[in-house]
Amino acid sequence: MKRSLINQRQMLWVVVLLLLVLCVLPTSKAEWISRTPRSVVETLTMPLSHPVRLVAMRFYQKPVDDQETIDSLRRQRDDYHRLAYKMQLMLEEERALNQQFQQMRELFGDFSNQIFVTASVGYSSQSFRQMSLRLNRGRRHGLDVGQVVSSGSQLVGRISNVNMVSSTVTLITEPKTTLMVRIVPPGAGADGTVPRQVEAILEVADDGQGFYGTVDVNRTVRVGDIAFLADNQWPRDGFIVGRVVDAQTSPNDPLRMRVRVEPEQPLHRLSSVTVLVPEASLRQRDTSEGDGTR
Amino acid sequence: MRWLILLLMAYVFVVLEQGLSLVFDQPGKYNFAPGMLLILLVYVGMFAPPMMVLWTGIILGLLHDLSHPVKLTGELADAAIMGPAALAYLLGAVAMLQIRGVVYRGSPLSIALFSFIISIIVHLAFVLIFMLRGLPMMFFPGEQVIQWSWSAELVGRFFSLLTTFAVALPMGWLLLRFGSAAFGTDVPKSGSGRW
Repeated sequence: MKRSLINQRQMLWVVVLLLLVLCVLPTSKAEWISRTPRSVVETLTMPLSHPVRLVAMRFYQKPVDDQETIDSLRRQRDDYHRLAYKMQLMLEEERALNQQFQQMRELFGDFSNQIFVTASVGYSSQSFRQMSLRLNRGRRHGLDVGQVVSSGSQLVGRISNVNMVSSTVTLITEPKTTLMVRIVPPGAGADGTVPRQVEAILEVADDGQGFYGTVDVNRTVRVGDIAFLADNQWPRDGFIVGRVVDAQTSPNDPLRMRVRVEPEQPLHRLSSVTVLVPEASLRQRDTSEGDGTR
Repeated sequence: MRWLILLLMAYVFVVLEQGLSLVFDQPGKYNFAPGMLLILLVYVGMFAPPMMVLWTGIILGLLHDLSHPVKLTGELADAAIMGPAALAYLLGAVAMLQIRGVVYRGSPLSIALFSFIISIIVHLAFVLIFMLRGLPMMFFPGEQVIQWSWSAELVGRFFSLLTTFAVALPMGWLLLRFGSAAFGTDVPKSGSGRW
């Protein structure tokens, strides 16, 4: 009995020493060691964390006004009205999305050599004020590190880690992110004409909710303009980074205008996203599956 | 205490921690998410044998490390660094063993209070380890987490431990109510689930 306790203690000390070594290992080695257990943990937690997230989102949203005092018929009528209004909004959203895609195609070319893979967000996490999303799609579905993630035409981020069945997305609103964008008026380019365009470098704002950038005060940028990604550091241009919500002359430099751009929806609260997968990557995956080399 | 049930509970608590973070986390601001794994550690620390408490601390800490990857300066991919939370949780488990005899254990308020105290120790240790990891020492160049600031971390984690305290009250009640059946703990019958 006593001997067994001593053995356990010795084992505990060995584990503590091992953990101390793991703590100081360089990131590349630490990542290599933790890859398999991390993959196991993510694979096991993903099926349950997604429903929990959906339930949490219900609590997060403000509840609809209490209508206990209204009779049931009136409630039903109101529900139908609400449904009709919601459908109208969805229709408008679909139209706007269609227009945005058309605009993206006109401005930045076709997406013919890429495939959109839809993924559900298992959960969002925050470590050291870095927001990230966990997706239920991984290497098996053609995903790889560096691929672009969007929600409709809204740019969300890039894949920063991938295992067989799940992956992590680092959001564009992560601190220290800089993005080269082209700011154009909404609806421009859809009719084939060259729109007014202003190039700018955006930096993530301190609040992590949007971006700041400066442009020449003589260039026209208005509230409501759309900022499209035009950054050669990214594999694909043309996604919407956000909408201009504020444009004012810089207080420190009267020759520059300070522009604030915000994504059209809070990125950490998305329930599903789309990953842009190059067709070559999918073909390579299919070939390896066919050869049995997976 | 039964290891299998404990591991299942750890799984549920990790899922809850991940799922509920959406409600509390403020992007770009401070982290308000409650430490569900810490609450479980406190519960186990109250009733389990000493060695089991220590091993539970390591396992829960490793789970925390693996489910909270960080992005370091100059890297495209993020990485789960195993160790910092595991050591911090182990320290919390040691502290738990030292102080568990001080107060009445059959109350949710005790779990909440212990969660608060243990959270302070765990968060301080965690921040300290990451701070040391960022410093160049001996053969290691030191790697900084993006946007690292120990003072901001401590402020954020203070809010986190407040929410941990608040969440530990109902969770503690649930654990005391149903834990003794599932875990086979020695919760005093007279005080079980009472304030």
